[in-house]
Amino acid sequence: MDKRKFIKKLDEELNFYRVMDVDNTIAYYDELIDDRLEAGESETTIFTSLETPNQIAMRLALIERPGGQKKRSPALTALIVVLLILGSPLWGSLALTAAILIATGYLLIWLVPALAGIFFASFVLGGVVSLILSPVVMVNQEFVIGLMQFGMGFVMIGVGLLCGVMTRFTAKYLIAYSVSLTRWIGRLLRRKIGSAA
Amino acid sequence: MNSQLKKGMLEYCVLATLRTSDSYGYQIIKDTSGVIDLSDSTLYPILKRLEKQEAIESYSVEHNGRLRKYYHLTETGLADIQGFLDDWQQVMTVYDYIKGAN
Repeated sequence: MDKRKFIKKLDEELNFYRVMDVDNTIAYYDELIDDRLEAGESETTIFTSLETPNQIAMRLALIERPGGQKKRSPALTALIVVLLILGSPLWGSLALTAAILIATGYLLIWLVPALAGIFFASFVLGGVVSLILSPVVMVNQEFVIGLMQFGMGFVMIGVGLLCGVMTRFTAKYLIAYSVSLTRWIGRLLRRKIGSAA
Repeated sequence: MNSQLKKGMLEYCVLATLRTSDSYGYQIIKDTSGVIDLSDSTLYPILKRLEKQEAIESYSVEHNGRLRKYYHLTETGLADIQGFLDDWQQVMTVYDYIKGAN
């Protein structure tokens, strides 16, 4: 195992066990591993001596919730189910609204690279077609018009490539942003569901 | 050493390490290694707990292009150490009594 895999697994386990303060825990282990590497220890030695991400998460979860989760009585579970069904018109519509809002947010975020991507494809395609067909216009119609079309083809390809670069950069940042946003929403939902369960 | 006894002493060992100067996770483990067995995973909850109790404070310092978290002993932490030392005098009296009875 290397540091990246360890941290990734730790993040998953901490979220799975609903440990609070995930970011600080990860920062602690991240710093500790870096310090040990800096002191000349090999990755093998470090990851052999460290507890596994699962053990770390379990230990912290146990400290936060010493007694674990109390078992709920079947009658109470049945009551909760009935209340959930009866209240579904209210919470169902609220949950649907929240889901639509989140989906709209993602859609808006991704609109910029999507548009840039469409511009990239259309400008490059249009530019290439314009370049290829410009000699035909030069011969069959007027030379000047063909020459203008030739120049326009280059301009279109240039603009298209700029849009391509923009698509690449915006997509790169948005992927990272979307992943962290999705993780945050997931974490929030798990906490809410966990505290309600 | 009895695990419960050790558990109680770990916090004071960490506090004592910070009495001389501010320190960070890895250094604390190294400094206490000759006295008590403190693992990486054991230290983290202790630091969290001590910070919550306001016995220590933390701040970040840039080190080799990354952030390193330093811990500083507060007045509360210092008082905690003194409280432990005072309590220990009573423990020693009991220890001497038990030892003498054997």
